[in-house]
Amino acid sequence: MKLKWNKLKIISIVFVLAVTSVGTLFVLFQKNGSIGDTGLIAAGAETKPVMRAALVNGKTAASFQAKPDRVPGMDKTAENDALALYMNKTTAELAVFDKRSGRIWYTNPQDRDKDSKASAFEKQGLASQLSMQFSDSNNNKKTFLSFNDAVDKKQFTIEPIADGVKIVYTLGDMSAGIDVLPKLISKERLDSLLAKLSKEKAKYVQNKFQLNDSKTVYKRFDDALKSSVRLQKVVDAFAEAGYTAEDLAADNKANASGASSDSEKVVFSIPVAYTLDGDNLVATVIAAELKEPKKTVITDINLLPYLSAAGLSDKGYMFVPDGSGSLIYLNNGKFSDDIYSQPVYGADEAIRKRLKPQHTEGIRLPVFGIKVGDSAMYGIIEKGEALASINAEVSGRANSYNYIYGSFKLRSWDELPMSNGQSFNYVQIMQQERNNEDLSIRYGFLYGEEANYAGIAKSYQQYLVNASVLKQEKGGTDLPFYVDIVGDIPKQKSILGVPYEAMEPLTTFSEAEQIAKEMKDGDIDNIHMRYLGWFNDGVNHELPDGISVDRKLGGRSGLAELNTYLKETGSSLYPDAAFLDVYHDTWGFSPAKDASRYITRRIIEKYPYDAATERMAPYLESSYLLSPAKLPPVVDGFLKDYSKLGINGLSLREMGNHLNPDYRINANLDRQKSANVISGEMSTMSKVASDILVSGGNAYSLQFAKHIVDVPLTDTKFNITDETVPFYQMVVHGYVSYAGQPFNLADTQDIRYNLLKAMEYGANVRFTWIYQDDSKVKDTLFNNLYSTQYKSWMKEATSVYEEMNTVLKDVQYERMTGHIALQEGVYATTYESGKTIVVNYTDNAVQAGGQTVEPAGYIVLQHAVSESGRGNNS
Amino acid sequence: MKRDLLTFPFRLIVRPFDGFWDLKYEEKGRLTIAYIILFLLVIVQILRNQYVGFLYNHNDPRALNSINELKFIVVPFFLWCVSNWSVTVLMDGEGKFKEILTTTGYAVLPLIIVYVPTMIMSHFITVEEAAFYNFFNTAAVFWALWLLFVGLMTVHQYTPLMTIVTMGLTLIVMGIIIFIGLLTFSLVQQIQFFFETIYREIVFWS
Repeated sequence: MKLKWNKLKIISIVFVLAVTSVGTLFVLFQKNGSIGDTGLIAAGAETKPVMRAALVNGKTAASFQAKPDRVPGMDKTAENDALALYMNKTTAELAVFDKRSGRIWYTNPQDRDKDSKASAFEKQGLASQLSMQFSDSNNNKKTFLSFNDAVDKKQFTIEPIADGVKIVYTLGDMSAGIDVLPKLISKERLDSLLAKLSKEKAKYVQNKFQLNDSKTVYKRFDDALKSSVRLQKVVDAFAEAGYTAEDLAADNKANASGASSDSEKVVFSIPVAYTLDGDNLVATVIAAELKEPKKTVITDINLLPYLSAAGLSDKGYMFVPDGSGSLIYLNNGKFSDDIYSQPVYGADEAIRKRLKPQHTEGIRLPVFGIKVGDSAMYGIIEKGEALASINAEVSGRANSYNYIYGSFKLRSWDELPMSNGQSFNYVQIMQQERNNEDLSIRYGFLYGEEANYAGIAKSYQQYLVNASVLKQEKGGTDLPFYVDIVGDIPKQKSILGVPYEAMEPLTTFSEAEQIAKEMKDGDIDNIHMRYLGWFNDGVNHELPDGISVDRKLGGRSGLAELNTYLKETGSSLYPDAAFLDVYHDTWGFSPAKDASRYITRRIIEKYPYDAATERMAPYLESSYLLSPAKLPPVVDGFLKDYSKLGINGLSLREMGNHLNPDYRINANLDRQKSANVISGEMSTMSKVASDILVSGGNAYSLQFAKHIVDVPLTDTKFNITDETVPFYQMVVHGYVSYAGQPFNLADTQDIRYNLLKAMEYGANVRFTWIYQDDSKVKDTLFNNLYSTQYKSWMKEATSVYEEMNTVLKDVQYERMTGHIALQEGVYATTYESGKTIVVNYTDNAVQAGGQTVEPAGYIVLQHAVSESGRGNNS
Repeated sequence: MKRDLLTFPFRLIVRPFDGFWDLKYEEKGRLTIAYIILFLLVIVQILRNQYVGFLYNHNDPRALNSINELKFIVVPFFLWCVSNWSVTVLMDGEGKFKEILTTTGYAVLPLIIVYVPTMIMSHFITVEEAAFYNFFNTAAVFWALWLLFVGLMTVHQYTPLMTIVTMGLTLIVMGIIIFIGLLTFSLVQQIQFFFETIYREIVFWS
């Protein structure tokens, strides 16, 4: 009897195979245009969520690929002029064959079985194309790997699509559980079912049910079904007897027992499309078809973690866009340090942090890459980049590979404090709605001369130019000089000993004009004046849904006069406005309605962190985060008034700098939507004020910004990283002019150091100035402006600007093409035309390009210098 | 008559036994004047914080807030009066609440009279001469306490011992009132947390 059963099983498997292969053949024929409608139907039938493996190599593979494989063991699934996509249909591994170089990029390391470091489990992990974290209703967080939890169990389907292939991974335990058996079943119905089975099997099944006292109803004997082997036998027997889901429902209904257990099956279905687009591979998680159980939710998806995997013998580096950019040398042995894992566009401020988070430079551009030998690969996070993180790991921790990849955070969680009177317990709350847009990463491949981070920068720059994000607009011939002028700040005064806050003007409009005049006298002609604190009460002004220019500073007419003066003398004015941080609780702004909220539904009111205690300091000025949903009406109100001022420039304080979501219930706006709102509003603003200056310069703001200040000129210097590189600068130089921190308020006020740094990074001179005495800022919240009196800096500023202008004037509209470390503290930056600037931060004179570079000095060469001085890793 | 009322407090502070007798039985005391004295004391204290000579002034001018003087003068004043009334009403004191207020108000007059000259003096004396400054100020406090003692003894018709006992009890009662106040505050806070937690439990019900 047992034998007969097995035969049946074999027959059914063969049948399934036959059906699926015929289906695939139809699809293929349809592609070739030989069969029409029938093919469609067959393909449609096949795309149904068939949970068991749909395709098995063998007959079907042969029909896919007639020619001998260029990638051994894999079948070609898509091809264009530059690339060919290959796939192994049993392991779901993919490979990209690059026709230009013959290099094959595998999604999973091919020599993983020989990895001595990786455990057996880890080796299976290395065979995964994606991994995901999820959280159940009790906030237990677990991880599923696409190989271990889907491919290995044959729970995936492959579907050819235009230019590629779609793989639907079904992760989780798919075996039919106890729930397919009725909890209660009437005696006659069970007997009729058992009649269809062999005697032996019927007895086996009957033993698993108990007759009740009245001898009319059988009750499922759950204790006897605990073993999965026994359960499977009974389930199979029921299936054999033709017991269907409808029967189950009928039985449940007849005996008034609901679904027998309320535990939901933890099964996720993640469809990923791998397509070739020109010389890029694009991996897309198709969000609309993403399926997850109701109470157990996906929190993170790591996409193609091992596409970049480089082994122990490989030489090169991984590039992470931390700050200006950093390199992690392959096999640098720093596996005991924290892995690199940073969110794109910096940390989410709408997740409450009880302690001050580590200071990081943040990620401004969603790009990462790896250089392995003489080839390189990069990834541009194209869709869902605001939800993404970039992660890099060096060999030695869990396995012998160095790899870098993008991951997406679909849901965040926060802690809700619950008080029982004496103490607080923290309960985890999961974000309710998630982003429902596609998530995709575009991978590109570079070889030879191009295979380094400068090549990656060039490719990304080209990508941005093609998307018309970067546009080259030539301005003046002299370099811009950025000067931040601070208008008025709040200062505590007292009347009859009762303290109150009043506005203290630090620079009025006419005084600003005076400063500009003195700059002109020092031959600084191309002034870009960013004016902070000019309307609605001070630097940290009230909600900018309208403009009332400060009267103490000279009012509307004073501002117009300043603007006219600057315009006539070839300079520009950028009045600064903060839209996203709201510092005052005024009539137009109701925190309950207009401020963003935490996942715990509390209104976000953030205080600066106290440097000593690292906790939020309630005695400092707090601010709300304006919900991105409320941004459009505020911007409209602002622009209505702004257009009357007739000023062409506008400075945006946080729009290119911070990106925060609103977790408001039923009106959730995640970071991606928030970024879309912000870039949309910037577009609206650019119609009124065409010359926009932003601070920070996140990728989504690049399209509208002509000037960027506070550009990162360094990286965070994480332990795992090895070298700082000007990647950001290589992408934007020549298209957008930029400056770092003000020279007089930077981490060091050594003007010489700031000059060298600006020379190396192609940045412009920037100062923050006030007209009044420095002592005016004492005992105010703005005491960080302690060294800003313009007279004390004017002489140095003029000479620094003159030096910079002589050196960088003719390359300001050129691309930065190379940057090398000749030795520790000596760097050479090369521009398109070959002009090279070598800076020396060290205390000793060094030789470069046949010339001597003085300590703390620089030289200008008209040709590139060799990379010989580069560390041992290239 | 009006003038009499204004000069009366100055006579009272030098002839306390007669003065307080007149205050109670000849109705020479006025509550309004007591309040004016209290108000003047607040003003003098604010001026002192700001203008006492640098050598003797230990206040950080950035942290000064006149509203604080209400906390340190006006609140204790009324707390004292309420406590004293609460004690004496149980101990056969004859003083009415109004008389307690008036007495206490009149009794602090010496503070004003002494503080103003010492404030001016502080600008002309050296650190070594601090003894004088401190002596006069302390003397003013003892003067005021003496007046308070005599005043309460008179309005309640107590023996000296009884007066000292009730004054001591008054201080204890002040402590009790503050304690109960804090207790209520803390309980209200706990109740608030309780309801907040219930609200959260309901909101995040799933």
